[in-house]
Amino acid sequence: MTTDEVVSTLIRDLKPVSPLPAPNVRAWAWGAIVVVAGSVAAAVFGLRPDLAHAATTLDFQAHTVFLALATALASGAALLLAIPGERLARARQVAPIAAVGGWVAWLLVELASAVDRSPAAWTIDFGWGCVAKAMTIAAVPSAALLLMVGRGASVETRRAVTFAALAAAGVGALGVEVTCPKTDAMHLLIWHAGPIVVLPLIAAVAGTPLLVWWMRRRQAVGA
Amino acid sequence: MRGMTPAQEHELTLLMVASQNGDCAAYDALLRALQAVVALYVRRRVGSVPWGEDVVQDVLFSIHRARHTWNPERPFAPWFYAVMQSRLVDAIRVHKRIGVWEEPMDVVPPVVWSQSPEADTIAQADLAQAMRQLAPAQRLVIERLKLAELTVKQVAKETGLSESNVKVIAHRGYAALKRLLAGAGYDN
Repeated sequence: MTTDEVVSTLIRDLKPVSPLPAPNVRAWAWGAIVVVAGSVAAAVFGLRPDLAHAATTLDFQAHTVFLALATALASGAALLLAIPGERLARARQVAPIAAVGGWVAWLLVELASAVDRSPAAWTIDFGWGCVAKAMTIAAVPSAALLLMVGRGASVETRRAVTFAALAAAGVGALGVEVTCPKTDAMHLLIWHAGPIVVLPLIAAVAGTPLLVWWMRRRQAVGA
Repeated sequence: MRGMTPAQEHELTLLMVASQNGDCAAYDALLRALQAVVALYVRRRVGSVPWGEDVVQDVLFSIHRARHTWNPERPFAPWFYAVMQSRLVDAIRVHKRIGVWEEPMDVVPPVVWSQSPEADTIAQADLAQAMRQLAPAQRLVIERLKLAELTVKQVAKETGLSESNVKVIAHRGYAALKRLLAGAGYDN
């Protein structure tokens, strides 16, 4: 096919399009989805019985702030990276990862002080239920975020997918934080924080080709 | 702005806005203007390569697919250059990979089977017709490889192309021939 033929094909395929809203507007829209999905999840799973008391503790407040920051910053980064030519400042790239790092560091400090009090704090319990719960809570928000990223035309797909996965894992972790009554640091570190570290890594490897394939398929000329 | 003057960018911005609204004439003008910019950009970055035109086409397709992601309130040039650069980087990556994995052996052409002298004549006529429809570089390389029976090395020396480029062009030419002949009713 010659370039002239390509141009003719594209002109024949031309339809009016509405430009995507700005990334921050889309981030707020995703935030609204998270609130709705989180409310439904809270209704289904039930809030932890000690939530009112836990909310007054510094540990819970720190966890929530770190996770909310990581989720908001990562979703904003993913949606920004979905648009060609938009630059993500280095500070904005590092910030979501720093927030997760801050949360993990906080948990490690909690673990260290718990171990000081009792060596039994090293015990790893069986917490797959929390992982399943986090995945269920994050399912709709993560699907919505991937769709929103896919609506763009990212030229930095791997980073966009990784940040989207981080945001989704953050939603799951926040959901588990308000539904799981366990407070021992080892449980939180392995079963609450584990997925938020592992999921973006998996997404960076496996999610990128899938998103590229889907974006190309959805945007095929003549489709 | 990276080789695009403010006046050019302003003009392209207006054309892009009209294109987003479905104006075919503006879109035609936009694509033809961008085609020249991309061709120049590719030549400056990687020199005269046989796959340069493929990159130009790929960029035009990408712009078409991504046109809804450009916000008219944002400058056009960064958006356009990001799309163009990403397609060029992909193309360079693909061609490097082909160069690394290709073994130094000749390229096997497709065979057009014939059952009888009449069918053979028809096949030759169709083959000649298909050859005429190939890109000039593909036609030249296939003719030198298969009609003049030169080796890849000899064709590379004669045309000034690298051996891997000759193989890439030949491979694409055979694929195009196969498509054209399949369109003319040949199975193999």
